[in-house]
Amino acid sequence: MEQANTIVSKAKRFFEEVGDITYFAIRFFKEVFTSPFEWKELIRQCYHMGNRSFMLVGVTGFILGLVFTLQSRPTLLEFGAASWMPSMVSISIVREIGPVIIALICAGRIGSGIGAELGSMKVTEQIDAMEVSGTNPFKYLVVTRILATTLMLPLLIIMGDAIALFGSAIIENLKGEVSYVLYFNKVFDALKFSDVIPATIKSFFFGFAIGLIGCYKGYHCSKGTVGVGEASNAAVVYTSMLLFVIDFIAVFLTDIFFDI
Amino acid sequence: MNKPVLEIKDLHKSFGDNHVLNGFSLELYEGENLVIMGKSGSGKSVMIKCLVGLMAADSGSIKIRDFDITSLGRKELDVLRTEIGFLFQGSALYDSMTVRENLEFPLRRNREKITGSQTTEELVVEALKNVGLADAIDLMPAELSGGMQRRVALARALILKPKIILYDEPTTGLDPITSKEIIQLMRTIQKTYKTSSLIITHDVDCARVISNRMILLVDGINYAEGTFAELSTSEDPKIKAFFKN
Repeated sequence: MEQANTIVSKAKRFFEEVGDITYFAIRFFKEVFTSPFEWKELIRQCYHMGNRSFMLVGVTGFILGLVFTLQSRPTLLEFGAASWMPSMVSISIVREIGPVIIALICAGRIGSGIGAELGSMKVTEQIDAMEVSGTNPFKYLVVTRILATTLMLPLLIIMGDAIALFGSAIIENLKGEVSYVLYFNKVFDALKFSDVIPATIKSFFFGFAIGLIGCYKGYHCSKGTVGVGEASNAAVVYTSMLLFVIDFIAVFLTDIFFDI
Repeated sequence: MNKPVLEIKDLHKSFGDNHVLNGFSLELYEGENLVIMGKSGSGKSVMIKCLVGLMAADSGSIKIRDFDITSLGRKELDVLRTEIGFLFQGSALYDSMTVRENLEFPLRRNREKITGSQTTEELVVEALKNVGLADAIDLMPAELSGGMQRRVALARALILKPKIILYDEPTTGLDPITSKEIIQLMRTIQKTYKTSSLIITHDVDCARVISNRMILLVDGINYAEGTFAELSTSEDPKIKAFFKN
């Protein structure tokens, strides 16, 4: 009986939180289209998120391409299908592995940063100070950050995918003596709009999820410095789960609407 | 007597079963320094947050210059907030911004409120000079001591030249010498800017030096009201407890 009560209360808390996040998202859509617009802060956030994640995403993408090619090569050679390597790597990376891995990396890098920053501002009354100075903190802090992640993540993913393919091309060039021109010709032959467009659309939603959860957790932070740590941690955990849910829905819809 | 610039009537606020304010009332008159004293957890900070609309009261009215803030919309409330300076307990400086940017922040949306030909730069420098920190303009809050942070926060609260200043525990966390400097600064500022001040504190020295009138907040109501001299000599044990060293 006690276990049943615990499950019920946990389920209740879960649905309450889902409701709160939904309300938070609705508030975002209400505020994003009303003036005043915080353009300067939006550009600053885009710069911070894009620029500061550039190196991490670049290195991750490069190693992803290298490792993926190295690991797949023996199996393809075994089946005499080494010439399929560029097609296989490009489709896998562009459609699925690139967006998901880079979004997860950004959830850790950007989502936790937003959670910790807003959480810290909340517990030190900086958000209250903003409110009493006549600035809408939701607009200034939340709307700009969610927009910035939504706009920057697709760019980071495109860049990460390109670097991953370059990493793969290096291995193919060294191990299989495939020229870079031939490798990328095969990549572009293999990729179709139905691979690129759904992946790009999906990455906008990934960016939105990272910004939304990071801001929600930070903005509702309590319990002092402990709460800041919890907000940062929860932002990563919740976002990671949400990314997989979005990915599942995106793949499901792509399967229905695109000929893949 | 003058008309009050700020008036709270029968304010109630609860958090679940915890009734924090049970009909608290006050009137703040022009040019007055009104000190609210109360134990930790007695609802002083809740009251001051209700006052600027950071928290919604359960019932009661809060009038600032004849506007009932409980019935104002967001835009009207933001306009009214420019009439009020708020010094937060922990200074609440934006730690990702320099001192200059901290002071410029309230001016972003309310620049038109400041009449005259002063530029933003001149306003920032003037506010910093008034708190004796003109040299700190390009420093980050983390590079300042606790007392300096409190001064910068005060300069930020004053940048829009408000009519009313709310101080939430202005000397908490400061050493006795810095506390005295802050109290002295509060007095100077009141004379320079001709403000009315509502000061929440449990620092008896601060109350003695700065108050024109005091209210003791006990169990969510005005337990006692009077000048420092009247209250500090009271025989009521509950009042005496506040003034014991």
